[in-house]
Amino acid sequence: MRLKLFSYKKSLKGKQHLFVAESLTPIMILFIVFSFFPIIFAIFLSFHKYHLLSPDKPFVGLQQYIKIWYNAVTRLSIKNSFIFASIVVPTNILITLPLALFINSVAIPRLRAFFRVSYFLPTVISLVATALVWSFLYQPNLGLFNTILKKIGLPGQKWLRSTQLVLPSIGIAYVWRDMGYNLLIFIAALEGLPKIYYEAARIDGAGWWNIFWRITLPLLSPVMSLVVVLTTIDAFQVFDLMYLMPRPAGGPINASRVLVLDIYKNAFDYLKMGYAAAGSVILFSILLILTLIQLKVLKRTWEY
Amino acid sequence: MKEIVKYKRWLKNFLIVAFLSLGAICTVMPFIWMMLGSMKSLGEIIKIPPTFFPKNPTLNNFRVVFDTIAFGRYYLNSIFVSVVTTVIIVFTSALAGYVFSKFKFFAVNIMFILILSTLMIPFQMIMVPLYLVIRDLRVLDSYWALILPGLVSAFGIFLMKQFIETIPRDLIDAGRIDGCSEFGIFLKIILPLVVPALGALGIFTFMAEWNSYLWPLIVIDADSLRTIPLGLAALSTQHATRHNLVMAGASLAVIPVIVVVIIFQRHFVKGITLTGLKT
Repeated sequence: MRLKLFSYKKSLKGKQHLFVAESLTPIMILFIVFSFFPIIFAIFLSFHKYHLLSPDKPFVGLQQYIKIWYNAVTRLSIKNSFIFASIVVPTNILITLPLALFINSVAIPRLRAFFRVSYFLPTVISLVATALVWSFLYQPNLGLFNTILKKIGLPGQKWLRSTQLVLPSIGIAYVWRDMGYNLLIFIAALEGLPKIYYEAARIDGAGWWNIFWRITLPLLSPVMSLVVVLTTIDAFQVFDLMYLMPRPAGGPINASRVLVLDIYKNAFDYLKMGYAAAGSVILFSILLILTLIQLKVLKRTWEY
Repeated sequence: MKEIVKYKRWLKNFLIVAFLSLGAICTVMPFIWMMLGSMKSLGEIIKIPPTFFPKNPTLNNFRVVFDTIAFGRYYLNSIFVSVVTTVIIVFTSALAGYVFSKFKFFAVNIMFILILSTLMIPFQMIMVPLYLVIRDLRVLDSYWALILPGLVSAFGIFLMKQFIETIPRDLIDAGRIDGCSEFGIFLKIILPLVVPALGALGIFTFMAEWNSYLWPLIVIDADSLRTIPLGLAALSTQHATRHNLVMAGASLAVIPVIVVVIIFQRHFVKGITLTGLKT
């Protein structure tokens, strides 16, 4: 028996099993403690009344979800998240796709690299720095935007202090900081497109609009659906700008309160962890459903 | 006729470059506004209408930021946390990626699918329970709280698995025949072959840690443990009206990153297009 175990440990299979066990055990423990367990615990929490400071945390079934349904502020925050995403995602694509086409058509490699890096620069800085710099740009009296507007004879805007403009204003700052990724992905995709279609089109005398609409766009469709899905998922999760740009966060009068901000405030300002967890499960469901719908729709319209 | 075609083409190229240059200036403008603002005195920065170029450029704001606010300390904290996390994530991702791609036992495959499924979970969904876990481990408000949840990355593992999958099995078998240990094969054969992917993963893990705000905001309270984003946000709430100080802090946070990106720009571009990674 002892000999058998000994030889198993020495055998090739035994050595491999041992290696797999030794290397995966610590990694799996970390995943269980900091990923799997929290995910299950989030769902568990959402069925409980879990105030951080109160000793009893009773099971309440679906009550937290019902509360969300009847809570005007949380409902508004879900709506604001959708508004923000519907501002940010199309803006991002309408800027990055043409920009990628233009940059790609620059003939001099050095100049192309220069443009690529200058448009990419904002993407590497922190959202906190973005929030502070753009808050200053939007400042009604001292900011650059209103100074320019006044100089060309237009009235200054209230930007972050206006209920109508606050989400678009944050959206512009977010697109500025986030466009670099999509830009690089589009540029790489354009570089990879097969040249023969373009040569054929040119021989047939197709104009640039037809080439773009009938060749480039259909060829880009797989990349396009990926970009749309990822950009949407990210847009729903923007926290830093929402927390730091309007003062107070979520203002004015909850006009910029988005779902992630609502979750954060309920959890860490009001310590209502059960309610916050229910909100986070809803966030996850929204993202899951949106992703599935987008993949389906984009696939259908672009299939060639 | 040929002349006209040539001229038209030249005009088109010129217009594109002009348009791109204008766009690039607009894109860089917030950085310029930030840096110019950081060099203005308090008297100048609250003047209406604002000046564009500082009248008497001063570096005094930077001194104030370092003296009255512990910006040096925030820097050290950010460097420490980001470096530790990056090194460990790169290592665990490569190791797990290797196991998942070359040892396809049933149990191993199940574990991989479990890890992969966590990719769809938004961080905001686990931040509340994760906070409770960190609290129950009694490491709130410490470096542990910042580092522990970030030692493994589902995306990193997925990425490394994709890369290691392309390494031929023969290479590993050759190592076994030569009497190399299993861990030795990983260290001496696999790791050197995936250096570009490790580099891309490392750069982006570092950036994500360096810029991370929400998680430190939840678990860190002490001033001495603040990372740069936390310190910067605190600076902006404490000195909300002293825009020159806030801009100086923002410059300190932003400029090193920009310098690094400009130096390593080719690696960045490659990294993103290679992996589709996001910070």
